[in-house]
Amino acid sequence: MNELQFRKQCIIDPDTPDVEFQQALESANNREFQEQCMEFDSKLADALNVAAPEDLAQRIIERNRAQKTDRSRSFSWNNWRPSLAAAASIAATMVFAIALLLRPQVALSEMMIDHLYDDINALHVRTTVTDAELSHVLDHFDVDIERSSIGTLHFADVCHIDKTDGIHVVYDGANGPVTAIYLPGKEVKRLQAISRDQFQGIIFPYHEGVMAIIGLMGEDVLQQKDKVEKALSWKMADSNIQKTST
Amino acid sequence: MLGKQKRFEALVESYSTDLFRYALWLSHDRHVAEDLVQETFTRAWKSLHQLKDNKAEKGWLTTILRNENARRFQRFQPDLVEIEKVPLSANKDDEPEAKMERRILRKAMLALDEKYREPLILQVIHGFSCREISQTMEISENAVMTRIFRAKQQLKSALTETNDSVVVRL
Repeated sequence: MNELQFRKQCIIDPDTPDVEFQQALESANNREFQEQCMEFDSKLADALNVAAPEDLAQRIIERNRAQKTDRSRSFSWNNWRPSLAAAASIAATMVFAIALLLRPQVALSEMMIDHLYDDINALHVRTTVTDAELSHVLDHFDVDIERSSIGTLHFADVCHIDKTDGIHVVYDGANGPVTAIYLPGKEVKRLQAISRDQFQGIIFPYHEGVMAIIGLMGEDVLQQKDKVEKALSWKMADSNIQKTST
Repeated sequence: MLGKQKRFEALVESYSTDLFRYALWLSHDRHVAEDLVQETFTRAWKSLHQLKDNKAEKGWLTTILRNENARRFQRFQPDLVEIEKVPLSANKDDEPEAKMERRILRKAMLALDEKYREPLILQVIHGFSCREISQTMEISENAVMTRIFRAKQQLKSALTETNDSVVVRL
């Protein structure tokens, strides 16, 4: 690196880790020039350091929370209105018959439906999850999804509920988006019905944990349960997960 | 892995101040800058599931903010308020000479062509390397280096010329 190259590089970034640049710093003249450049950069940083509003972060967070509440209240039925005419499906009847018979274990089912509301935007996503995005999520859990069995996947992410990482996917059901959440290491004793506002679903013991399937009112969630169970194939038994009762 | 809300709040806490500074130097207006940062985080929330690599989060947010700023110009061209009216962060070194140098550098920054100013802001405020700036601005690394070099040369000239003229007047 000649002197001209050194000086140019030094003006651009006096702290560059470039090997040749670092070797050139053995020269006292070059070191002196580097110090001048660093001093100038420091003055520049000082000049650009304008004050941000002190409560900016808090206001952003509060606005986000307020928008989340609004979004969950204004979830649109319009996309699914035609098929809602058949809302009084046999499946819905079955689910609520089960709901009457079985008393739900409130904590985990409530947490799962709370999570659905926390991530309400996932129900609005209309793009298709790529194979890479899906693998990124599923690789954490050593499981595969047969995409052709489940239909169009619009959302897939690792979720975090009750201190546990799980799988959260959204795909097209018959009456709208269907959410499937799998939480390993959790336990429910039997299938339970869950519902809130326009959502209804089931939570049941599955593999090494618990699965929730939640759709819009009228969705045949038992049929969706079969569909999801058939679509999932586990690569290996995960015997290391410690069961936690909720 | 953190829950979505916690992850979002961590991003806001970590980056809102630097994004505000970047937005302010892009827009020259505090209210516009704040709106840009708010809108950036609103979009970030919606797409948070796409952010797979935590190391990329600053670049990802910067790209969202750049796109938001570009959209703003598609909608309208606002009247710009002079950034000189914007308060500086508290600084222990508040000697008159340092104040004057800051004022000169800020004026010179505003006089810089946008294409020179932006990579410099990304380097100084965000601490981005030339490679990161090239990825964010979608230009070559050589172009980034050339622009930063020219930007700094112009700012140095402004500082030197003004200092010289002060000396002459004295």
